Amino acid sequence: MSEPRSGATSGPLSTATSEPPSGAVVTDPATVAPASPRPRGRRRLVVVAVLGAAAALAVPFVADAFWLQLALFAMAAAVAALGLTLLLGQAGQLSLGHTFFLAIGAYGYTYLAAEDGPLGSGLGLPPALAAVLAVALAGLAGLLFSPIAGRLRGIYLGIASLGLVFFGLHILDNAPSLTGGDNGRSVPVFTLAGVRFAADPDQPQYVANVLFGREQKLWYLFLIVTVVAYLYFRNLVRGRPGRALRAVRDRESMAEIIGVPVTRYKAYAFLISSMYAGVGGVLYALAFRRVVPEAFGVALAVEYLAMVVIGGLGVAGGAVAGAAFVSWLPPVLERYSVHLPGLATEPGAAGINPSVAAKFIYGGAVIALLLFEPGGLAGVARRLRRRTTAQQ
Amino acid sequence: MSALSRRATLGVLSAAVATALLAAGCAQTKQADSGSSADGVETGPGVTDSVIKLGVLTDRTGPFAGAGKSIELGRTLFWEEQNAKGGVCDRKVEFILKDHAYKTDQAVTTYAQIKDDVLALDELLGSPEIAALSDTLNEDKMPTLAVSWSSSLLTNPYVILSGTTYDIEMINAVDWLMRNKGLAKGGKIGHIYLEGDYGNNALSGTTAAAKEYGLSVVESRIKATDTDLTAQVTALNNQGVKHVLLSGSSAHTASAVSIAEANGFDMTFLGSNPAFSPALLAGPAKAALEKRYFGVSSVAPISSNGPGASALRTKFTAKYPDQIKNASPFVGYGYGQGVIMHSILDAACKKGALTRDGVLKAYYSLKTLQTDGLIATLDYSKPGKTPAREVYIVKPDATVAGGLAQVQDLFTAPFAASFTPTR
Repeated sequence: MSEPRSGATSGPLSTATSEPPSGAVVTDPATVAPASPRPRGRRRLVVVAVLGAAAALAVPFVADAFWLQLALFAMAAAVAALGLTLLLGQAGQLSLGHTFFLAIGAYGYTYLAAEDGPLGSGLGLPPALAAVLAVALAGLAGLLFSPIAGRLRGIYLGIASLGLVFFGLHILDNAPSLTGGDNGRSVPVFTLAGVRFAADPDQPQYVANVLFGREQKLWYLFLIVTVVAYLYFRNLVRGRPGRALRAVRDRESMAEIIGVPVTRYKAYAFLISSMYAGVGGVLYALAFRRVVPEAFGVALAVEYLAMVVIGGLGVAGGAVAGAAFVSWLPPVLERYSVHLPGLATEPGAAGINPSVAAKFIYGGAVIALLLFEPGGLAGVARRLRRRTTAQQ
Repeated sequence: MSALSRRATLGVLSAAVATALLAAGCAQTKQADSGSSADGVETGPGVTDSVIKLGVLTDRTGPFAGAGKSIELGRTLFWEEQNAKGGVCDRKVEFILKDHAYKTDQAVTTYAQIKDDVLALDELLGSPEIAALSDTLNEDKMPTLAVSWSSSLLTNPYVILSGTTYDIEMINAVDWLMRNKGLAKGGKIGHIYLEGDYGNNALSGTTAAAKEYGLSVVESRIKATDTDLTAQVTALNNQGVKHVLLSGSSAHTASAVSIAEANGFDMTFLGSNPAFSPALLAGPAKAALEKRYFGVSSVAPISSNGPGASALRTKFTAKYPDQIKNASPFVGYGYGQGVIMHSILDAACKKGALTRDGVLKAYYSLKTLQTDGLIATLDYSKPGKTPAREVYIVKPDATVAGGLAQVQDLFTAPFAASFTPTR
């Protein structure tokens, strides 16, 4: 059962997923107690952190473009999924409109950072500033939607938020000067402190004999953002806001009685969640290098829901692992399914071809995981940890 | 900060640096992108002394899986034969095929997976996927045969179109309807089109033609998810529209034509190339389609008596006898793309450069390219211009191979010959 997971941890995302050494303390965020690790636990934590960081820094030197590109998508998805798992798992609000906020982040960054030109309007702001403003914009959109979220619950909120996706797609298709219309727009290259996060075909840069192109540079940027997003999430969940959100989730009237301002915390959850989606959107745009409306459809909204459910609701590590699972498994299976025996590889031959087989395996893995471990990947990890501590 | 954690930080850093250096030492650098082979031909990625590798990014599991598979049959027919004859430039042509399932993110990752191993892309299917990869193709200087016929692709010098664009198809269609189906000056023409690049591009052709010929257009925009077009067809009928253009999927075509038939509307339909699939003739819409529907296409139907289509029909029947009934125009298209790619590679070989740059230069040097009528005459001499302007008119006929019979041989309306897309 842990096969897909162990497959994932061996790859570039290993830091993000092997990060929860301290997660060994957090079993259920609902019952979090202040951590007081024993000295031996601390030493093991340090060792794991050292190995994780070293592996993460080394990845661009060993992984090829395919793995790096996949990792970029996975980290963008992980950040956005953290936002959704906060909303759904911690605050108990179902949202199918996560891609709407993702699109605001992606298109917001593109519009703000792009130069005004014949292909579309733009403000030409410095990319870092544009990214921050795009995230703020996504947060604002979440805040504007929160009065509706305050009034609806469960599946009703899910359907209402799904409306946002259609609304977003309509805008994307019909405001060509802003969004580029059907053909999308090029995403401006991100620059920070003089570093251009793009390939330079005329002046290729080599670090220790390895060509450092766009994917290699972006890897480090994405890694930092993902780790910060992860740590911020855990901090938030362990603190006062996290407890308040869970109180609202478990019983609103009780939360009200103990003095939690329910409406304000619901709005707060939407604000933070959509800002996470905004960050994810900016990363997504950078990973894509061109934004097209088709990328932000209903299918993606459902995929995000799948990520947080597969990962385990409300758990930070779960969201990251779920994002890796959902964004990696299909392309990885597609890559290696040609080696499966008994498949029809001849063109025109009857039978299952490798691409279809990859889809079947993916579907089967999802069903099996949720059937045997409803707690998702976080539940699997918890089980493994319990077994190792029992052995000690 | 305690001593332990400071030591830990130091440890992290030194270990990281050590690992990075170690990894860098072991890592293989892919610098040998171009070189020169024994026969003096300069070679690029994916080219060895005996093999040329081309990439195929297609849809095997998404909404256009049918088209993707048909193209593959055509491509296989062409290259099996050509490789048996010695390939091109004394090298066999091989393909690395990847499924993107019509999803933009998977198109980007599968592209990253194969880009260093192939000389060019023999197929990139889908407008959204081409749009998503457009900048990347530019940067990698990757010559790409697109499976999409939108004029908006003409802006990218590396994207090679192989047929008549949707807008010019529609101009020809309007012209044909006026000459053959009683559409007269001052009349109304309906156009049901799918939102997105394909539909918009087709509509821009209709609008231009209507202006030129003194017609008025009644637009009706649909989404991919609309399955029942009753409202749209009824509205067009109420406005007195007798001629309707369709630029949607084959499911949309089946719905629109069946509704007109069931209600007894006096309507003639004419659809863009992707709006028909032979599978429709096995369904309930068969009678209505055979009575009311025509199609416009720059690819010959496999039942055509032209030399290119006849030869393809013979070969196809020999290799896939049980599939000839459903051999859609995409088979001919896949075969035609083989002809195009072969011509490009052959020209590149003669210039002594099987590199990406060499392939692109060879493509621009092709000028006029004939495929024995399989695809309309192609003219690549003017970069950024529509490569073809001729079309066939076809109609559904369950009794012939591929379910489509030729009604009108290749022609170009005078206005279609001079039309320039606005963007």
